[in-house]
Amino acid sequence: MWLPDKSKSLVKKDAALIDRDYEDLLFLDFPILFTGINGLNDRIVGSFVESQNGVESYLHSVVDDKTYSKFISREITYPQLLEKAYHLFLLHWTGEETPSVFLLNYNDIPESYKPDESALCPDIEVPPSFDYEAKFDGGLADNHQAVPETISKFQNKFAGLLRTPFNLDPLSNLIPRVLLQAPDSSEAYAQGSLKIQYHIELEEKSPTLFHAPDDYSRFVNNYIAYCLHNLSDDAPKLFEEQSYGLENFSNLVKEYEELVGPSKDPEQRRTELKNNLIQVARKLGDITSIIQDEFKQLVVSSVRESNALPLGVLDEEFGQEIEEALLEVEDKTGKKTIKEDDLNSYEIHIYDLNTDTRNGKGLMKHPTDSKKLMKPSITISGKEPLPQTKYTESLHLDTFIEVRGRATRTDDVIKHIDIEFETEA
Amino acid sequence: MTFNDLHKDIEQGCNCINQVGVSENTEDSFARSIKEAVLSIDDFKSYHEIGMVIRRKNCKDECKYRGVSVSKLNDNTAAIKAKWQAVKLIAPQGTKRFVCTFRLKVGAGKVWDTSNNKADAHHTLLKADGFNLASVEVKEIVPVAEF
Repeated sequence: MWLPDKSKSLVKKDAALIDRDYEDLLFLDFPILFTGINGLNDRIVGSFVESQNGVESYLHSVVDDKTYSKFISREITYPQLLEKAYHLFLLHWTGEETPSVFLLNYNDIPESYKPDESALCPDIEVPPSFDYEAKFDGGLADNHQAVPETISKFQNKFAGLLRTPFNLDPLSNLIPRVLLQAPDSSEAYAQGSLKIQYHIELEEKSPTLFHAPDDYSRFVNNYIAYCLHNLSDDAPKLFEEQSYGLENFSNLVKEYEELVGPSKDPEQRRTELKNNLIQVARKLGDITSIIQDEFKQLVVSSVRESNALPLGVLDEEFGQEIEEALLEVEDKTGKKTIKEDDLNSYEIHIYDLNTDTRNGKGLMKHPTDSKKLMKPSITISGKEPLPQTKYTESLHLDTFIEVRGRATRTDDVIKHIDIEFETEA
Repeated sequence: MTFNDLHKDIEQGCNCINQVGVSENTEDSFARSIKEAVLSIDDFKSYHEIGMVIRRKNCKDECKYRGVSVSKLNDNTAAIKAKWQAVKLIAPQGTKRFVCTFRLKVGAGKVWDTSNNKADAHHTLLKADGFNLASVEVKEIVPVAEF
């Protein structure tokens, strides 16, 4: 029997114990792998260790939403989750109301008790549900606050994201009404976060619905989870022969065909799905860019019976991955992306700028279509303060200014400018 | 069949036999992982019977812990083995080395479909009072690797 160092025994045990939302992930006579939320609103993942001499032992790890989300989507292994855990505990249950709890490091686990390096979470089926939760963490969300303009922009984009799968032709008979839902007050003000809840109601244009809403929500939830976990890796290969070897994409195609039935032109259907996914990728990139200046991350979850299952996490790292993937997609689909080596002058109206991160968005005249405007993202170099410069003047006075920078273009369209900070206005 | 032992000290109003998907099944074959190559009555002891404490006090969970995990065989040995392999990888000390395939005899108990339509076809055997080794018709006991 594994006896831990008794000097590491804890008196305060709240962080280690599951308080609500318990769920088995792997069950065989008893829970082998399970999850839940502790009294501090942190995610716990637990696993069976042994049962010896009347003592049941379990490992409990406290992990962040992103790590948990990657674990249940099988992107990381169980040992990797344990190594990323904020805290790791060994619990000894002996029939008392509360267990003995010992604080551990991953390396304290004896080799014969360590999970195998290849141990993955079993396949977790996302439960069918048209209820979603968007939970902001970090930044203003720590005080349950947000800038209204940011949330307004976010809400429109997020609702658009939830509607996008219904743009697929075989689903065009369905009209998704995306509704905001008032969250339960205890949930809305959970420690260190801000939550917004959504619900989709489906209407039929004509009564030809062969499936129950659960069939559609199951597909949409897996679709969103795919976009959040696999799309940034898969996107550059989607438009190549290699797309047939993409396991997660192939599973999505299979599920889509099971939902909408076989097609006379399977290749056309795959292409339609790919194009729809790219629309989603663009929306995810936009959402990340809207939120990343004010919050650390956004956790998107599917909610069923008040249990939130994370579908994925949007943060700065995700934003960069999806932007890079989109540039590669444009490259692969025949659009040529070029990043300039030399500095050039540009006329731009900066309409969104975070003076701390120096990232923002601008408007520029389209080179070939006078009725269109380009909306490149921008980054301003340097460490000099940005307030009271021409950049913030453009932002506040809605004026075009001349800047010098290196543009990233896809064909003729400027997607991004790295602006050289200039002290002269 | 009576189930007094199964329900001993269970919360008032909780009847495991009334759960959705519970029925007597003497037709299908089932598999259960066991410790040794010789079957013992201990191999059919539930989490509750081996003295582990049920900490989640709702009727469905209580019934799950008072039952015994079995898998219904239906050309799905690969999925069943994959599940046992997953247990071994996550909890190395929770591993059993052999597998017993069997049918239940009349009066042995009832089987609760807890598969959620997954391929490993997890079912929960709710043993009737007086369940013993004669309650099962053993078809085969083999090492898990040969299953």
